Amino acid sequence: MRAKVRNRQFAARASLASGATVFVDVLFLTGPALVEEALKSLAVESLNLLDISSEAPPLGATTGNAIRHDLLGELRRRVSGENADAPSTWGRIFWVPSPLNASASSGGGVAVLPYCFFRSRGCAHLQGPKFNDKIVFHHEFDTDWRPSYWHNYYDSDLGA
Amino acid sequence: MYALFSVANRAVSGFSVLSAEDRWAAANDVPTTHADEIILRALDSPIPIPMVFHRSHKYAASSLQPPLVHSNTAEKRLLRNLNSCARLNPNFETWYYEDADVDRTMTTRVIPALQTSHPEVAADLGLAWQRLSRDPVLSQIMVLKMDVFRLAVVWLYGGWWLDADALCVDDLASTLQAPEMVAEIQAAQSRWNKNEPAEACAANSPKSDAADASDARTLKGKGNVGCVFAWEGEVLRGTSEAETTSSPLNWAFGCAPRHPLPLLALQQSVKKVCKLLLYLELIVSTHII
Repeated sequence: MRAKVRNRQFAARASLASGATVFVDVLFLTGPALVEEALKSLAVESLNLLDISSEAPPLGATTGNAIRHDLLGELRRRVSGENADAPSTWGRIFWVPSPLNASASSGGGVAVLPYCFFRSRGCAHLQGPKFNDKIVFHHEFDTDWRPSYWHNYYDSDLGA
Repeated sequence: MYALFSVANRAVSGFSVLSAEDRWAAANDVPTTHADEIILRALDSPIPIPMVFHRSHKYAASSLQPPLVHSNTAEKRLLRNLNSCARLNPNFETWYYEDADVDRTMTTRVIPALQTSHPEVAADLGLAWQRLSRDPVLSQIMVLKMDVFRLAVVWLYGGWWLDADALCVDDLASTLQAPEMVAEIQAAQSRWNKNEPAEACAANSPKSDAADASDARTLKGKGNVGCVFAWEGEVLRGTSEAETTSSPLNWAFGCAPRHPLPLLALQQSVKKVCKLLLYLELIVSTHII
């Protein structure tokens, strides 16, 4: 049996007692993939079924591995009405309502913003009157746990 | 009690970093009480996420006191990042977790809270946390613990998790509460409702777009915003480009306290941590790596 070797760009390196190196897939062990799984669970629970549109085939039943593997992305695209050929549809917020069994104190839906809000200025679909090119956070990718990484340092004074 | 937190955030030139546990001890307050008050303040907001930034790094809070004359670039960068968010968001508090705080908060705050509300999760989390801390391989990878911790602490207290290498560029509150943003969230809610099955729509008495717009100022007409994320984009899940998946990013996100999303992610993460031990054993036994 051979383990599936994934792209190691985002894997963390660790050493075994033997001196051998292992790469741990952080993104899919504890990282954003778990948020994806959780959000998918909430979405499915809220919909109570996967077929969200009578005109469209059920999610996951369409052809192509990308769609089968990317259920949440497909759901987002359908609900948001995103069209790859229509830039005006790219900057939409995706909303997953609170699950029906959530208590009032812990309720509230999930708003997923276009990625540029948490990344960098200058995303064309966030410019203009709708979002006015606002971003909230900038990520420097200043991490040393990946064997391959890049930095995205923010150019500002460090003297404070 | 508030002054201790607020002063630190408001005094930009004299921003001082205290560990979260030290803050709570100095305030002679338990964080749950303090968090409750912050939550109550947040409920007046269109987006009722507590105005707290949870930040963490390996550097001790005591080493981050300005001026950082003898500090290295990484420490200076960290302080700059913490300061940027405090300066742009003066009504927010920064709770900084040193390594010791992370373990203390997990073992003395989060797990006991889960034992009351979700005992099965508490048991699994306790085991996974021990393994992440003590396993000779897993303990080398601090990011694993921090991934779990961020979900746990945001679940417990609510607020915003921000990686230490993230800085603030635009004011969070005014950006998220701007009329244009509120209207877009309202539009997203409307789009979802229009995609619901017919029977669900009937049960929910769907509103017209005009009626939706009347709720836009408060976002309370169809349910509050319990969490805010942004898309990471597509990431490679398997071995081929076709196996990509869309995921929200986890280096910056905010949730109301006890929201089910971080709890679900926490549950699944803990399960995977337990499975990974078997995977490592497999790797060792078959000499794949």
